[in-house]
Amino acid sequence: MATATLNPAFPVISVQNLSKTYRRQPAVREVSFELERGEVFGLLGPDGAGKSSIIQMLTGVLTKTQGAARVAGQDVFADPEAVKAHIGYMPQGLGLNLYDSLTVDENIDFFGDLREVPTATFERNKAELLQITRLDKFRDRPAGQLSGGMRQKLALCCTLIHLPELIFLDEPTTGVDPISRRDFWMIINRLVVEQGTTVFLTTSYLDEAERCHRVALLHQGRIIAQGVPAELMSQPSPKAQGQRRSLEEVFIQALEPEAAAKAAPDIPVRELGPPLDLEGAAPAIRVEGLTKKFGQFTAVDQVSFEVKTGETFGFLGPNGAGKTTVIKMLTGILSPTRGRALIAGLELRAARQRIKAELGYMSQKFSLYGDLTVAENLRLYGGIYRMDAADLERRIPEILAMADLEGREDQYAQGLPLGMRQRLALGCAILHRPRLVFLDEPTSGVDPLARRKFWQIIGQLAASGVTILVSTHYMDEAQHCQRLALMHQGRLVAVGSPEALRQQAEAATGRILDVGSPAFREAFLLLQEHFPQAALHGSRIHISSQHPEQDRDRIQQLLNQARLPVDQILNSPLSMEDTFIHFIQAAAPEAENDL
Amino acid sequence: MTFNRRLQSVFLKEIKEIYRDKIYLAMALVVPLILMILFGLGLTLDVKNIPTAVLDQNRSPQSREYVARVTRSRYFTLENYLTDVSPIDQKLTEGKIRLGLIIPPNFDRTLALGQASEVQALIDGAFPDRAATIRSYLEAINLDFNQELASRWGMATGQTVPYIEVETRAWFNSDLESKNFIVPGLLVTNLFFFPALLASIAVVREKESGSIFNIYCSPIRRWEYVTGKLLPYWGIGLINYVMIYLLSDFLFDVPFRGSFLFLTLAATIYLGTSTSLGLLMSILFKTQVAAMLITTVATMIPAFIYSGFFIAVNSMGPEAQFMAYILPATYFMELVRGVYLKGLGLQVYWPNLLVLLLFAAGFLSLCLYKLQKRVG
Repeated sequence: MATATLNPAFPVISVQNLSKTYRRQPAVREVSFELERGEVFGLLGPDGAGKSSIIQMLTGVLTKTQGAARVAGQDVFADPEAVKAHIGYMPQGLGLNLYDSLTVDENIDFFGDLREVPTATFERNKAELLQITRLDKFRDRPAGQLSGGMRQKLALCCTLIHLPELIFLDEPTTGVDPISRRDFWMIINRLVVEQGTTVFLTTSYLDEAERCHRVALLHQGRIIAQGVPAELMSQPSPKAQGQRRSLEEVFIQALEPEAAAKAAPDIPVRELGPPLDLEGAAPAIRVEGLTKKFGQFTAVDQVSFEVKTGETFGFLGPNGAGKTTVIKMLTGILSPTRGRALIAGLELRAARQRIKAELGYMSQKFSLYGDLTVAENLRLYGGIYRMDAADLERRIPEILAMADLEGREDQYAQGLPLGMRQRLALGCAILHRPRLVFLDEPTSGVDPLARRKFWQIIGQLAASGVTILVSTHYMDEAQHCQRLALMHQGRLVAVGSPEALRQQAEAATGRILDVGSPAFREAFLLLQEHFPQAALHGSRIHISSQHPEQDRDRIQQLLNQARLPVDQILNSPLSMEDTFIHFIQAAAPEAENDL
Repeated sequence: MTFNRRLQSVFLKEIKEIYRDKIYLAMALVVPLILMILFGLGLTLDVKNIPTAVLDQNRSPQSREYVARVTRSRYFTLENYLTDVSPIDQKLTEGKIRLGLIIPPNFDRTLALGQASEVQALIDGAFPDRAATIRSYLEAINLDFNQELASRWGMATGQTVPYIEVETRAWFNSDLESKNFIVPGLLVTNLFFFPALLASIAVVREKESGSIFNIYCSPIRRWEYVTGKLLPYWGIGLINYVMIYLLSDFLFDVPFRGSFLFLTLAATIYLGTSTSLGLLMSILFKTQVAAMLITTVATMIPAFIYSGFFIAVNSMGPEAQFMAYILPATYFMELVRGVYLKGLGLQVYWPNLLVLLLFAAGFLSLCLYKLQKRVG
């Protein structure tokens, strides 16, 4: 039984020069960091950076190659079992550690029994966790029938049922819908404030850094920057004068100091042929009441929108929102249950052969042949689209230049880093010079530098007149799109330009007051009594407000009365995530209870 | 009060998962019955009611007696009584008859002179095994007839006539039907590979889904996890055992001469062996497909070939005998046939039980050794 506590004489986690090599392939290279009690520490990095390997070593389920790691002074490699009673670990993937045929209740009970939580403590924790995750209405539902966000919350309940002093969360929010994500952070912050829990988490979302007290940026197994997010970002931006640099810029500067300021390379894209839309009047895409059902499940529900010719149109939404299903219907891979889709004013099914040559599609999953080389992949796609041999030989060098793959023609696709593979996949999709390109989550899991390169290519394509529909689950990618469609549970909750959407949401919910205080825990508990909507973002407190000037004074006053120090109170715009949450709730006020 | 909360939680969770996976549950309970019925009915080596045509060119009392001896046995049924040789070929070709018996014109005279008379038997040889069986039946009936003839001849002349003694008892003991031999054998082979196959997904399923990390990262001890996983599949094996036993009794009508209690004790130990072998496979492999495939290949084929199911172990070559002795099913095969057919029990087969226990202990130790609470 976990009655003993972690020895307070030592840091909760202390890692020195830790390395892990799989079959001569280094995954983690000499990382060092420390965690203090009650800290929320974020390990930020793209897919394949080594995040999971570090978590697995710290939880005692993976051996090291070199270095040392201690949890409360205890060597995790010498005696991994001694550590396990004190920790909670949630592996990567949306609730993949749950038992699908077991109900919500039974899953939690299993974890309670596995940890031998005393009955009274167990019942108390369970009731509380079910209530704050709003899962208490679904106690008898099998885990397999929960949505992605609910699964993730249930997995969190299971991980927290024994109230571990230290929790490890591996990509807990990847692909999760914004409301579940907000709930998730609320639970974490509550544990940190009320129980003094220490949290170690990984994420590939750079915008989640501000939710953490301290972060480390991981790239190819190495920590390239480490510290308090605000301090990391305190230096001026290399691009925008007078602004602080974003974490993405921190990342890119740490990798390539000279690349950050560099402008995008000039990319030869295409010479424009005759326009696809012969009349010039119809929008590139027009969708009316598009619906797709898979058995009882409605994946896409009455979706209607238009994409103008030459526009970069973003589909923003969590995993399972229906983004891929819409794209598949637009490319003719799936046929809709109801509704219709017009491409350049033409009915897709009727004019499929005519339209097909004008469409480019990059699927979500790796669409390349890993055992073919870069050049072979391109030639294969050229053949599939029946490109003229001479034209193909002219086109391939253009694509290689665009994708920054020159000199890699003879490398196997599977050996390329993820960012390059995605650029090659894009190259294959636009090889035949389509006028309309569908990109399904092209940047998912890609590192910031490669992501930026990818968006530069998209920008170039758009500049040459190509219409682009791109889906993503990264909120911070919204800024790259001229217009956005926000998708949630198969429905379109809003369409518009990112700025217009934000302003619309702000008009309804107000601005964000961002309160910084060295005594943020106490300040949060105090402010929460007066502002129930208060939420912790790392060591800062966010309070949405319709009357920012008045509330700012009131907050200042409350904190002064309680003799709590205040650094600053900023009046900030609504984030894309908050904007999204606003539209989800506006579309279906009860959605919150039925996620 | 609970004996061990962690073990119990793994055990109950496993049972719930099995119970709610209706396809798996149906497979676990129905497949052994289907296998039993298919194999039990299909694998009988007996040949009965063979359609027979007879061309009696002698038409004497003695030839009629001979024909009657053949066609009245339960192995042969008289289909045609011919007067001409030509239809025999055609009927054999068409499969209307499996045996054509031709008795020569001088049959009775040759016998009366004390000489050998030849009877011609044309056998459908499409299935060599069946042809061999038909021939041996016929030879046995012929031998029987010869013995009678010889004793009659000997009595008539007052001399003794030498006769050939052929060892045919094993085949023609009217009680010893092949199903009495095959069905208990199937109990052994099926209870070897099937429980192993069922258990082979127990751990690897959790590895594939990712829920194995719950185990890796919790304070649960390895023996608690292994025991909690093993018991539900062991239980399913016991249900299978009872079903197969009942089937052998009620459907196949196999006589059971031994003690059911002793057989159940032995089966429990044997199922522990096969289930822990399956669990070991589940621990060794990373995907369900690999674990199931390897388990099937490693248990099913040896169980049928080397356990003594078809061929007695002592008549195998040395390599095959080696295979037989490292196979747990061999020890149970000997025991089960002894219990069923001879009514023997613990006093004879305690060494077999001991060997099975050693196998089980060995497999379980390997499970514990190989199950590291670690990835890779």
